[in-house]
Amino acid sequence: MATQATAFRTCPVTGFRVHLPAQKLVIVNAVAGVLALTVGGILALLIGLTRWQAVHLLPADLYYRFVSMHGMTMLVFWMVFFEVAGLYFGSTVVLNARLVKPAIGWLAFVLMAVGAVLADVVMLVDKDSAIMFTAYVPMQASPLFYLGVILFAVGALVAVGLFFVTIVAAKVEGRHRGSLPLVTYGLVTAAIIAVFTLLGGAMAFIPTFLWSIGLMAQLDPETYRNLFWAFGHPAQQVNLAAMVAVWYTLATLTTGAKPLNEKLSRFAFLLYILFINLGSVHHLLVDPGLSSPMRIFNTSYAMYLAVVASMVHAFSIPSAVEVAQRAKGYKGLFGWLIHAPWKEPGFAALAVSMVMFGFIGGVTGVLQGMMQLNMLAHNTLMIPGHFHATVVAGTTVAFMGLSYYLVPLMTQKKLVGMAWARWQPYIYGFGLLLLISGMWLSGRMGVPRRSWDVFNFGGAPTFGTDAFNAASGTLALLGIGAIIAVIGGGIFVVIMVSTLLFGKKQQG
Amino acid sequence: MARKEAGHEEKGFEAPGTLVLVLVFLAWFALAFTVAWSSLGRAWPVH
Repeated sequence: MATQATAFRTCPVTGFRVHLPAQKLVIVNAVAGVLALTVGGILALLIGLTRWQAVHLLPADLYYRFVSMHGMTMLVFWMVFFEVAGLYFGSTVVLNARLVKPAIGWLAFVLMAVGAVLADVVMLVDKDSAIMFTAYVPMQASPLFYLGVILFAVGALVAVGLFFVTIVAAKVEGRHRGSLPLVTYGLVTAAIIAVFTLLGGAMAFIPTFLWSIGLMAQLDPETYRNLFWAFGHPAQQVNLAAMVAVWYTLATLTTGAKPLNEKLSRFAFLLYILFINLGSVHHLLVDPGLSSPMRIFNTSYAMYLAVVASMVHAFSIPSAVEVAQRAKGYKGLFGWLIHAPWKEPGFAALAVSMVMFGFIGGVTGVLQGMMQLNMLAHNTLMIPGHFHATVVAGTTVAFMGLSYYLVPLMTQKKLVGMAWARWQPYIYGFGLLLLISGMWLSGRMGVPRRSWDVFNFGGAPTFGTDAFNAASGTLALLGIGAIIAVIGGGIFVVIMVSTLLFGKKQQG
Repeated sequence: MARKEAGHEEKGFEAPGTLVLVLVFLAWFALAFTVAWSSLGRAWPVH
């Protein structure tokens, strides 16, 4: 049995003490995440080339299967696998602590992996299970689909529990003193929101599973929608909190930045816990069971308290970078920005992620979340335009940026393809900018989301022909953006896989 | 009133560049809000 001393190694570059069993779990979860990202990215390309009406690549049945798989694989599997890797990193390496029960971590990983593969395979082979990410009742998928989602959620919940126990143990064992470091504090925020989210998912999907195997005679669609949106949008708020924690990390790693007022940053994380999930109600604006005051309050005043939190972070991080840069001697209003480390992949990812998340994702989220505009924008391509700016251009780019430091540290291998890594966030970000613009501009014209054929609607007589011909240019923009973004994403995957397989071994 | 004591040198506002970026963001928000309202209003007119 390994002793406490032999279970750790010390990184000669960073000085971090790395708990070896935690290291293995960080690597397998990150690898599973990148694998999910690869699958989701290939599907994204095929979907993008279908929504580009001039190309219209896939037949209808494959399109709907792939959209269902893409949503679940990217919004849940890629994100949560990577976040679990981040939780283990934040609770052990950052705190100089051990992972309390690595066997529990492996159990969580197996549950998540089996669940993810099961759900994806079912959506791929069973056309009746192509019921989209929302899986709205009364559409009914194969019981195996629901089982896959439940297994994944249970695994994720176990991993989050292990994270909390590890943090408590680190405190009890005296591994760290005082307040948690800001990055770990941000991850705790994400983990708390994740508990709410995963319990919401269980409440939505367990009855649905029982209904699909015939143990429940019926399921009320409105009840399902209420429960689902305790999972569907909060899952993205987990990503948001984790992303902001990564932003602080990248700012520190690449410029030496320290928040001007760390207490304020912590308070902003607290606002996320209290208010951010209330915005989910915007999915239920036309559901008759909810009162108007309840809908308006949650999609306006309460949601804005979480927006204030994002504003705090959006000011805190650039100002910390500015102060750190000025301390290096850069003068003038923007000298600090001009001389920022733009060729450092972590800083490039930070800049792309913050600008695109804030200027596009955040702004469109506030606009489209409020009741009046939501009634016009919902179910148009404006909505995917919003969440590709938040979850992909925001969170995914931030996670990619962190990977350039996390993977070499955890695998003890030199990053392969540093020259490509310098450009990757910009290429990916540019592709996403085109993709998101294409979605937003098409949606602005009323083009619906998810639909396979918006020119002829598969010949449906109601719509006549060429219903959205005016949007052909903006839909082409969407397709071209998808191609460039997938190239950028592909570069990231190649760098990660090459580092893992062929990276030069480093000491420590 | 600003104090000047040993170790408490007055620095002034430390992040003027970020403040300008924040104002740019505010202007962008106002523009996006206006464009969204006006274009959605045209796409879904009330008759």
